[in-house]
Amino acid sequence: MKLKFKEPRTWRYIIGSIEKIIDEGVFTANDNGLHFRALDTSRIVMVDFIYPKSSFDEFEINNEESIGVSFSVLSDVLKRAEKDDELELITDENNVTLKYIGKGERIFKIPQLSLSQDKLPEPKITFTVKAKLTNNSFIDIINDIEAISDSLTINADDKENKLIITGKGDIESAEIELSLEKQNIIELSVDSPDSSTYSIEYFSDMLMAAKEADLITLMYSQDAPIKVEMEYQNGGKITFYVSPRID
Amino acid sequence: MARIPAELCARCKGYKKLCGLPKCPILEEFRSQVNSSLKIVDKNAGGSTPPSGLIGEYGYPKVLFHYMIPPGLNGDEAKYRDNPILWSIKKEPLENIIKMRSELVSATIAVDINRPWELYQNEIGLAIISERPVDSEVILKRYPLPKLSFDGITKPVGPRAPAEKIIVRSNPKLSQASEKIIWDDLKAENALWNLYKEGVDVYILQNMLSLGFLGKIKQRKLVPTRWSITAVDDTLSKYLRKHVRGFNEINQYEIYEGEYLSNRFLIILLPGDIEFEWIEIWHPLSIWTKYAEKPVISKVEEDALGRVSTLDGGFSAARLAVLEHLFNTKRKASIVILREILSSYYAPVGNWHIRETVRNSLIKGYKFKTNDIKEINKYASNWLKADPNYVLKESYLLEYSLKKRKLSEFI
Repeated sequence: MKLKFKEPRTWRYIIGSIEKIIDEGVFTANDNGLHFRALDTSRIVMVDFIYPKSSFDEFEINNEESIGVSFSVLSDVLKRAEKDDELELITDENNVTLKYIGKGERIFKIPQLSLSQDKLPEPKITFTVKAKLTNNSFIDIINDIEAISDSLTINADDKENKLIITGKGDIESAEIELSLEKQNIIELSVDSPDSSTYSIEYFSDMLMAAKEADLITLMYSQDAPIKVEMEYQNGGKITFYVSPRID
Repeated sequence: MARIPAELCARCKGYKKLCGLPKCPILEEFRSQVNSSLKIVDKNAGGSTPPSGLIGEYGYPKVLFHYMIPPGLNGDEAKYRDNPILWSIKKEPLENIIKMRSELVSATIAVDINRPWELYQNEIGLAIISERPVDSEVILKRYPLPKLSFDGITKPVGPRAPAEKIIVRSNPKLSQASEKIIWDDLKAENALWNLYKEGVDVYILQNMLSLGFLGKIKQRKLVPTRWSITAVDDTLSKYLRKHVRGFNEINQYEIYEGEYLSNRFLIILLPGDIEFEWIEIWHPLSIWTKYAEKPVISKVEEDALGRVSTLDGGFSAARLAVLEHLFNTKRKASIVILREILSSYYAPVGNWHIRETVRNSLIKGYKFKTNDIKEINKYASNWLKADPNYVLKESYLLEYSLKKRKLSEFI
């Protein structure tokens, strides 16, 4: 398998996020592109990641191939990416070779892990609330709530068409209002006034991936998992599902 | 006089000297009470060492080695003087254990921890790691002081005096695996794991490490028994953990329970990664909480990566027992262990009883199994003698299980 793409820095941020949630996993490459889906060990978060074939400059595979890696090792190598570098990824039976082509060539080799891989279905949830926002507002919201609370509650208001995100600490609390009027949200549709609570730690893990994302979509319904979808300029997409907390 | 807070004592257990005094006042007071009842024994004694030996830590690196024999006793009778596994199966009461330990005479030799080979002479060291009692004779320099010393980790040590001579009369018997490994130039942790897999008893491993029979040959040292006990627990746990980590999670909540020596254990297994919570509830009037007005809680946590919040020999012993169980059943789980210490636990006799009671509770099989975490909380509340509201709020794992839902429920 040989893959080549520009902007390895996007990858660096995406893998930086996955690394915090999952230790090791298997990428599958086929005609659709490069794909990865797994649950964390506590089975609270699912990460679903797809990079379509069209986002690569070169995409050579034999039918379907898989790459097993340790995310912390991969992340260490991706951190070495520099601006304007091109990244080439070549696999053989035992190793994954990452080659940065910029000022000269730098080659890193990491071992392939032989891992079993479960085919996971996508969670079946009917979402009643859907919101689209920029990556910067998402990052700000998470940082604000994380400062004082270990959980995040989202309330949707269908009459005034707004979202209220709250966090409660022992004595302090925070409330952030999102609406089209206030221009801190790009799209919002509320079918029913649902509310749901999640642990904040998993959202903090997403912040790295959010840095390079274009738009972020949040979808949830009453006491159901939330779906956080991040889209990247070159067509890549990473989705996190986080299951709710019942207080 | 300012009183030392009981919380401090429950954490310290007479060992960490958290109160700043050179000797633990609780242990000193207790020793003087017990010692007044001891008999004086003869200067020369013959009998079989069960085997029972100890490397002290006072004066490190120049420490005392104790060679213990029950005068006049041989064979199984001698063996029973140092037999934690059998004691806990037979539920030997606290006073019998103290009595048996006080009848062991201890001949001491001053040794330098850097010179372990001094104990290899005359097979003295080998006798202590033998699988069976070894006939011996000790000639003491003076009459032994009728004294019994206690701490929370090692077994009580009886009357002692410096040895003029220790004579080993019969041949120490080692398991084949041990016999081989003491000549190997292998790191101690690898040696421990290899022997453990071969089925060598944890108590023999403690003595092997303590008496300098394990490790890279040129770097061997004697290790104070207190330290070696926890070192063996921690090393074996580290290896067991590596295996258990890859197993599937248990699919339901399970509860196990056991009681021995006025120590009650409730072991709760929850589906999840290997994380531990160890919560001790010391009722007033037990050894460390003589003057407390309400139960004192002391807690140790260990996260999924094996990092502990504080070192505790009791927790290490219990953790080994639980990991053994998970290893044998090929499952992983998060674990909450409640240890309730009643006021009738008046003497600390070592951490062996924790290891053995937890092992026995797990072998007996689960008491209760359910899919509903609320029922687990209810069971634990009924089981506790202390106020459950006061105790259970200490457990993050239980509290969090009540709240979290898994993504797999939505797939």
